[in-house]
Amino acid sequence: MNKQEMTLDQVLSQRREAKREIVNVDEPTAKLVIFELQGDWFAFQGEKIREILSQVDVFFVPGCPTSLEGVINVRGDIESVISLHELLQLPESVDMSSSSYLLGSGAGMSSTIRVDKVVDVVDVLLSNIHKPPTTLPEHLRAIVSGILQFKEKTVTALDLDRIFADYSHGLG
Amino acid sequence: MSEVLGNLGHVLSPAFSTTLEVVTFCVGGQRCALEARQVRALQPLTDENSGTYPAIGSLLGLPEPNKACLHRQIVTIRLPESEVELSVAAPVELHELAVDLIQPLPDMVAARTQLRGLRALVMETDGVTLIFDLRNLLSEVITS
Repeated sequence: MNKQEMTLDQVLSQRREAKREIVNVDEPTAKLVIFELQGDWFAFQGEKIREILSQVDVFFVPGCPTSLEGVINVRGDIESVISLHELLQLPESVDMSSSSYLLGSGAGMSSTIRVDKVVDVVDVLLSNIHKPPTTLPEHLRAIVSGILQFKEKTVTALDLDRIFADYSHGLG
Repeated sequence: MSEVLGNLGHVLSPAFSTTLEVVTFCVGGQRCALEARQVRALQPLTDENSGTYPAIGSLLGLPEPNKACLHRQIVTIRLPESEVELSVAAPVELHELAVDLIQPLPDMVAARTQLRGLRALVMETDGVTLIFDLRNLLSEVITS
């Protein structure tokens, strides 16, 4: 009942505020697929991951390195399955029953990558992705594209193009 | 895809058969196949000549456990200007593979396989069949 009456100045001021042009201040973002390997969190650029698969039958192919675990059938197409544990110098996972498989493309090649768990698929502000520190271990320097914090954990963003190119040339 | 498959590329054209004739055999428990048209003859291996034919497994890079215990056959591979005879564990069978099932090697397998002459894969419910092209491989072996 005792509403304060607005003055004309206030009314006109409100009108001007409403008419003020809305400035788009969206910051560029990157979609990341964050996954876990041996308790550590890593990420690939979302655009490099075509599909996330689970519960697949992996068939062994002889004559390949142990990190190339076999092949899977993705709707009639055969894709390889590789593990990054050796490349990242992590111990091999014991329980593979809960693994997920990221079907990725990079350096003109495609393959699935077995990971322990997919944590999340998120849009992250580019400004939150920092350059890899110079103290990064030697084996990671070429394949790490950035570092970020997510849910209070450090996430290491990996360069899938570089990983696939290096892997096809015998690394890992 | 036809570039990847090389000699097997014809299977992808609708003007051709929907099946590919292959000769199948096992090396160390792994199912393998060759295009049937690369094979000229198959004959039993006798005790007298068993040591004279190279085993197909060692040529392909596949381990062949305890060759002496297995019943073996001689497979004659047709090359453009010659023939090569190899010993292979029986049974050796003729099959028709649906061309839809024949897939080029995945990129990483093509890049990292240590098997020689591996050209394509067939994935079935109980495992993978490796399809080899022995003509190129044997031509390289003969010329080297």
